[in-house]
Amino acid sequence: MSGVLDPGLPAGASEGRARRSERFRGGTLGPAGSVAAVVVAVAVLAAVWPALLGGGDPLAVHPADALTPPGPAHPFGTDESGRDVLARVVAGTRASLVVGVAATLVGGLTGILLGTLAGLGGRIVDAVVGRVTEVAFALPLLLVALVVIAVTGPGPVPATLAVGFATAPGYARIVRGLVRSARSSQVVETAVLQGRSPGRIVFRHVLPAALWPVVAVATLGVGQAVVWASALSYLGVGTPPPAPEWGAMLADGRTYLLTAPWMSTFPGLAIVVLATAVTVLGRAVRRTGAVR
Amino acid sequence: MDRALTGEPAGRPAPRPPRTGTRRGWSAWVLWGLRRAAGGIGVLWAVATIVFVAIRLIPGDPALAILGGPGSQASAEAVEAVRREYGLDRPVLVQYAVFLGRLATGHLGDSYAFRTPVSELLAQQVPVTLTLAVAGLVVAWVLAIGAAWWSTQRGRIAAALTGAITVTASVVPHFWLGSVLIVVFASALGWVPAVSDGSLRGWVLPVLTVAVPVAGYLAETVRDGVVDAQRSAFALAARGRGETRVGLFGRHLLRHAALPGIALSAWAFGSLVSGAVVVESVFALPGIGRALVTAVTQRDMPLVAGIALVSAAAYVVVLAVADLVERAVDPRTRDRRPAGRVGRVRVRTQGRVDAR
Amino acid sequence: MILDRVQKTRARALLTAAGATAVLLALTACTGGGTATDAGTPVSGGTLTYASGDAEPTCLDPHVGGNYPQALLSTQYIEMLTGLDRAGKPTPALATGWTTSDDGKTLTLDLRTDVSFSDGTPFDAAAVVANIEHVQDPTTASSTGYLALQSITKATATDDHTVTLTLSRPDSALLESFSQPWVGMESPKALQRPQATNCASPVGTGPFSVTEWQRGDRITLTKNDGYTPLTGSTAPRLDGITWRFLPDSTSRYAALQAGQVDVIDNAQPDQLKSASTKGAIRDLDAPRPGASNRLELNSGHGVFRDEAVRKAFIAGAEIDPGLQSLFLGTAKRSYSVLSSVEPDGYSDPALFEYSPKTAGRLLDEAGWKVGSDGVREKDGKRLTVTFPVSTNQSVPAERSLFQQVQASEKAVGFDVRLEELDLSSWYAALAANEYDVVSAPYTKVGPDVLRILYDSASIEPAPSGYFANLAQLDDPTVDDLLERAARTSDADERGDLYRQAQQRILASGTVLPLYDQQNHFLYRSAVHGIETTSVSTPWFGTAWIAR
Repeated sequence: MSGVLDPGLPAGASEGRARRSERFRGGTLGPAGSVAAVVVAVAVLAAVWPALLGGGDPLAVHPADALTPPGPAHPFGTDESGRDVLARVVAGTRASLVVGVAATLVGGLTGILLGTLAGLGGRIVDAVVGRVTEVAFALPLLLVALVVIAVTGPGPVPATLAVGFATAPGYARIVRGLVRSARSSQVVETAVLQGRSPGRIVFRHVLPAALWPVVAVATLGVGQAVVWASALSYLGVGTPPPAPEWGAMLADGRTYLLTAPWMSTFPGLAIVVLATAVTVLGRAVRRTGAVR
Repeated sequence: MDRALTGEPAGRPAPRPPRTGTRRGWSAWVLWGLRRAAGGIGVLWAVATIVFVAIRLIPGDPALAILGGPGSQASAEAVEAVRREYGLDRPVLVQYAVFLGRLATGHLGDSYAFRTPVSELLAQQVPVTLTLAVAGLVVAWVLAIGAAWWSTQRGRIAAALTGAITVTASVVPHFWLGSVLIVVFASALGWVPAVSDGSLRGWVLPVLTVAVPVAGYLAETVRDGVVDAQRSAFALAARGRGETRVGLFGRHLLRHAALPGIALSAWAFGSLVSGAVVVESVFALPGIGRALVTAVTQRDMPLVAGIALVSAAAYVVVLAVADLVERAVDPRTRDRRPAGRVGRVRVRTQGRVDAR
Repeated sequence: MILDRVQKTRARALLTAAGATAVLLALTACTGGGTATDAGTPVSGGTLTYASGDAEPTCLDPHVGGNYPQALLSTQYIEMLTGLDRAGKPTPALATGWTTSDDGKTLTLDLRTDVSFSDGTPFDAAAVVANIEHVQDPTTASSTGYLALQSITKATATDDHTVTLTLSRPDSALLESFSQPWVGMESPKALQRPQATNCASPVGTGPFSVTEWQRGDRITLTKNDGYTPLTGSTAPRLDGITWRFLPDSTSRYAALQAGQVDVIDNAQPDQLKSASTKGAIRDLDAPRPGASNRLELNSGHGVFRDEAVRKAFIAGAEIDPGLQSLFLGTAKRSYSVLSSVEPDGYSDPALFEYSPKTAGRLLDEAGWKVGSDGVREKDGKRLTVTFPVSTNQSVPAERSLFQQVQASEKAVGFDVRLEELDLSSWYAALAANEYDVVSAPYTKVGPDVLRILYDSASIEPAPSGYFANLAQLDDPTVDDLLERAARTSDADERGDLYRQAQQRILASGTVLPLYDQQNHFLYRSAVHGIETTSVSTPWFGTAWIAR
């Protein structure tokens, strides 16, 4: 129903806060959500403290051990320079998570900004922002990325920015729709009739209504961002070597797809598992958060 | 309410009564067409300007790019001659004006690298990418509808499995999927050619590769829409009337679930064109995606500009088509007007549309 | 067939048993084409599909610019004035004979009388003059060809089929240079057309001609029925060649395996391993002439101005284990600046032994002390080495090798920063002196490449900013040796001078040789009669495909 559009948030802040804190009790996440939460926690741990989870130096080169299949010494095998794939996958969690999250943040925040503007503004503002987002949509992501990188040089920051700006229009469009609907919802109408200030209405009622769905989309967006970043690595404009980054590892592993499939399987699995977990977790959180 | 995640929500602000004319009069459509055309031109202008600026920002002398790249031994005189010939020695604003002027008359210029008109190159390459994108979208929809059916009509296990597959599909990188498909279906099984060879079978793998991630995304949306629609009153009524599950699914549920999916398709088209860059490289399809990578590498400005503008134009058209389809599918959307600003009380004469 | 018969053993080619037999027969019996033995009778007809992983050329006329992808293509439709034999000596091709004046400043060429270009224009002295002028014309923007013909001040047609070249100085490399496709012979009538037109369909005397070019996709070459080889009588057996551009290495190989294409280049080491002399996929190993694949240290700028630091870097680079594991034994370590196909190559393995202890000692003595994070420091500066890598030119195995070098140098105290750049950005970095170490392959026929790469005059940039002497070696003795070698026509003296020059170059510590420029072509066993040219490109004039 009009669930998220009309969240029925109580006018009183304290009650709202109490409600919100209830949402994160473990039991409300459900089985899938709980598993996803664990996976994400492990990933965050790996990003923060890689040494705890995967042994070894991800950069240590041992040509003699090159291309060994998974075994007791190297659970994920080694790559073409003898580096331990497990160590690289664990170490790569940080790079990939950071790129994925940062790009999504960049895109999401830009999108929220644009969308709120469009949603709250009058005809003209809406039209202008609409055109701006259309233009942004119209430029293919990879063109934007290639141009940004041709200007600034390769690296994680340009890739992050490029992916972020390219995904912003999507968020903007969603936020705009949600803000518009929230604007015309009963709660807001009531608040208007009660004479509350516009600012208070926006921040208390309109924005929260718009944000939760965006969070849910953003969680899927993190996975997408990691994947787009890996596409940039494939095209040769991503994170410079020898830094472990799942996308770069996937791209490098393609050369050895037939002779050493473990080089691409494990980073690929990591991308898929993390992206899935973040998505499922996001959904679960939103479900418990939304009241219906 | 998952539908809200995906674009314009189905529940819309109450439509104001039309000011003039009938709702479905021709004038309304003409106005719509004009509005969109104006908007489209605006978008193209903006894209052209952005491309012009971006290319100026990329380091490297365009005169050198014209002369065959920075590794060339081009003499100083040759560089000067090229600069004069291409107007590169004139002030930036003049160059911009010339650039826009040529575009307005439909002249995209000559490719620096290939010395042939950009329009000729595009005429060869655009149909390939367009085919890939459109076919990819169609296949993605088919897969998404199939997934929606499986996850809503076949029980919990199927639902869970399909859910897992769709999420996985939406995060699979194109280049990896493409290579894996080649290895399995072309090299090992030999069912299809490894790279494109003009035959229909040569399109199977590239279209699949580009469609799968989009299908994953679309499937979520369609599934959520179907789930919502299933719970509604009219669905129960239809079942009560004796409508079969398949009939209900096809005739009613999909129609309501498709709406947000249509908006998403417009986004998906852009995503497909971006994906085409990678997929065309892997499968050797001579489209604009592949040409774009080479053009940026070679600093071939006219070609980059041409490709960007064609993509933008295609996108504008796609948005217009999506809007049309939305209006066709959902009559309620035909007279949308944005609501007034917060702070102004509006007295509505009509009840709010049921936000179902 | 001008080049091929005498050049077929120019490169170290692992041809099929049948192909090798054909070669032998042709050499000894001077009969036409590759008469095969166990390969069966040559079959006429069919189209060969070649899939290239190289960048698509922007102009099919090899006079313009002048890179290897152009050479790969143009040797099918353009022929050269001379060929090259196994010993690197020029042999007759479109020019049947030549005489050099006593002072070495005049070269007279006698030309073939029975050849025409595929557009009907006869090949004569006027055509040769037109071609030389075209290469030297600044508006043509020739790089490689231009450098090769720099010594020619004037070309005159003294006779219908005799050309006299006036040189600014004696040039012992000129006849070798004429064997390169970048100075090949094109129809003067075609050259008069606008450059854009000639780029799309250049006209030569070769076994094929360009009929269609779908940019970003493929080029179609068709049999030239008027083709007249130097000896022998066969027109090409193939009806034509389809030249496709497949940038993705995995897809390219899959296409070869599936039979969708017949020949591919830029094969990766693991793909090479699966090729064998009797299997379905065979390997044509043809190292490029000119320089080997080397790391060049910028001795004019930055930390490598100090010879001790250079020698330390060389001692601290561990190459061999990585080379073995990454290239799976398909690439052999080189200790020479020149390619192994150059007869005048000189190598000295002793100079390039991996010894981290020596490296450490040299750096300590030079005042570089190990810092807190393992990177050495001196006067507050870190021992940083910038290493731009061109993703267009370096294959994945090579990029991995560079990463291993980076790792072994880290152990000694160097902080090597690998920058993966696209070609334009890479050239820009080199032109701006933003490199300390770089690997820049250079293909040229003959040891004269040393002059291009190591003469101090080559540090002078062209207007585009490009310069070839990336080691920035400025050694008057080397300059003198190279100049004398270029002037002398005595083969022994020339060889000796080049050897001395290489000794000094290697001893300067500005070069770390890695391996030959890898040039492998994989082809299906149904393809026979592939030969190689002076620049180690495959030539399909005598090729045929078994049914």
